[in-house]
Amino acid sequence: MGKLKSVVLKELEAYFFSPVAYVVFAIFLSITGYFFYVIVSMNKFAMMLPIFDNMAALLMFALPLLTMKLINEERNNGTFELLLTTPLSPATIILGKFIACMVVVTVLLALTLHYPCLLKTYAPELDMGPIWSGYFGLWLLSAAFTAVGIFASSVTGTQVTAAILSFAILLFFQLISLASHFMDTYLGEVISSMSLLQNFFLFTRGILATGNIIYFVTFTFIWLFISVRILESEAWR
Amino acid sequence: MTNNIVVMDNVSKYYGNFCALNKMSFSIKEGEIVGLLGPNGAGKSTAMRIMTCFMPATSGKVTVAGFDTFENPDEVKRNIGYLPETPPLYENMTVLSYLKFAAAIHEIPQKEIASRVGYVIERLGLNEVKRKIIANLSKGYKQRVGLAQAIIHKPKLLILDEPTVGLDPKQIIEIRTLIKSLAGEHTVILSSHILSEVSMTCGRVIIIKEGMKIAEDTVLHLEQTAQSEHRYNIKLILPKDFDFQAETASLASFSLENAVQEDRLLFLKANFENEGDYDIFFNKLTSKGVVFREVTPYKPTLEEVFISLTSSDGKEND
Repeated sequence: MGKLKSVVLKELEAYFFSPVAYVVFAIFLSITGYFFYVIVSMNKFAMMLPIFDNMAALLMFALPLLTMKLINEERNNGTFELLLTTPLSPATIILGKFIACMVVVTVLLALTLHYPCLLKTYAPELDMGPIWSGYFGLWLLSAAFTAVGIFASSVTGTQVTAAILSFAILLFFQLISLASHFMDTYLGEVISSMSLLQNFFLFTRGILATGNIIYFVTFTFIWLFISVRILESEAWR
Repeated sequence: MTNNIVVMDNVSKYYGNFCALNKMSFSIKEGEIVGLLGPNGAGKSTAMRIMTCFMPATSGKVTVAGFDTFENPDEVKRNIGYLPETPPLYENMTVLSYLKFAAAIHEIPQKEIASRVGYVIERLGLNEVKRKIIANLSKGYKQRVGLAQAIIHKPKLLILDEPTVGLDPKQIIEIRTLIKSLAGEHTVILSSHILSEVSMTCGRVIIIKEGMKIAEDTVLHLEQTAQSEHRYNIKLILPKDFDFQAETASLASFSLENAVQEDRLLFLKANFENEGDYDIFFNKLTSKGVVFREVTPYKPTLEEVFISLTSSDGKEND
């Protein structure tokens, strides 16, 4: 437990003592702010739904950048030799890095909470249910993105390729939602139900479906599990 | 358990088809300082990485501190401190937070971390830089932080891979002194391709070449074995009109490697077949009025030992 905590703290220190997190935060928040202003002033509707969709798309760019260095930087700096010659297990390393990144994402999402507060001020009857569920959905989505990012970082040699690979994987899991449009069969339905977008959809509408939650948890778990296996096999290659 | 802290038994390591270690066997006793010596690419780092459980051996058995590296890696890892060739540092952390992290992942209990970190900072002279970002430290300090990380959990065995590579001479002496002072508390195994390095710090040397152990001995003994002849550097002052060649022609049992004459001064590098031959040489010349200014027995350096060992071994293989 102490070891996991120290890995998390070390990663958080790395995030907040390097410019990457701040740059990603600044870009994410200014674009979100711009969209909030444009969408609300054009629609004149007090709702977060279109903003959530925008934030989900932005996270797809932000998280590959936040996760790209997590594993391959250790490998390139030789710090892997430190981690793997202490009684630290690969699972602890991956989990620690995942938790640290989720803390960063949680802070990032929390920094957008003033938008619903602003809406609430001008529309006191605003239903907060879909907003909370939307945030929960975004958080689960981020967990899935982070897991993919960690995987990409563990199989690539440089940060740029890691970012590109994780973006490609995420894009793939977004685009398969279109499968049902092209395949008018049961298979098309199944494939599109595997997409990240499809599973995120109901959260923004205020519906917490068990199936969607299980989907995100499983998706995250699988990518993290593969990453652990990659670290374990490191020595054998 | 015997007091062997490392036992390598017939260990081989292949990277694909490339053989990095070839049936290597050696053992290291508790309290020793042992040097792994060999040219670059000889397999020193590979041997060390196998001992630290960073990578498994292809075949053979490695036991560290009584635990098998394959079956019980976590126990092995608890008993070793490892400094890889490039110190494993997080450049954007401060020395203090890095050492706290290292202490935690080495399973030092939470309440002892502060005191252990304080101890290694004191021990390795890191007090001035403890709040600095590691990226801003000199190479010598980085190496010390790396060493601090390796000893923080009081390991029985310290494994240091080329600990002085890339340092300036002053830093090399500092690190060397540190390693020597650590030897009292830990068994130390260090690798190097610099022979003077090993001869100055280590009691015993294991020389490896192309993945094979070609010699294993004390530094003293290795030097003696390579010294098969009795060689002396001699400086003489000759009497006027003295014909050195003619006078010494009758002494068959010595050969000159080198002779430089400057007026009446003569510098010689001479080989004698037997120990007594030098005495005959000396008596003969002094009786003719030659003055001996300087005589130094010429000891081969470890460099020469090393070259003679590695090259003769190469010939045997061909």
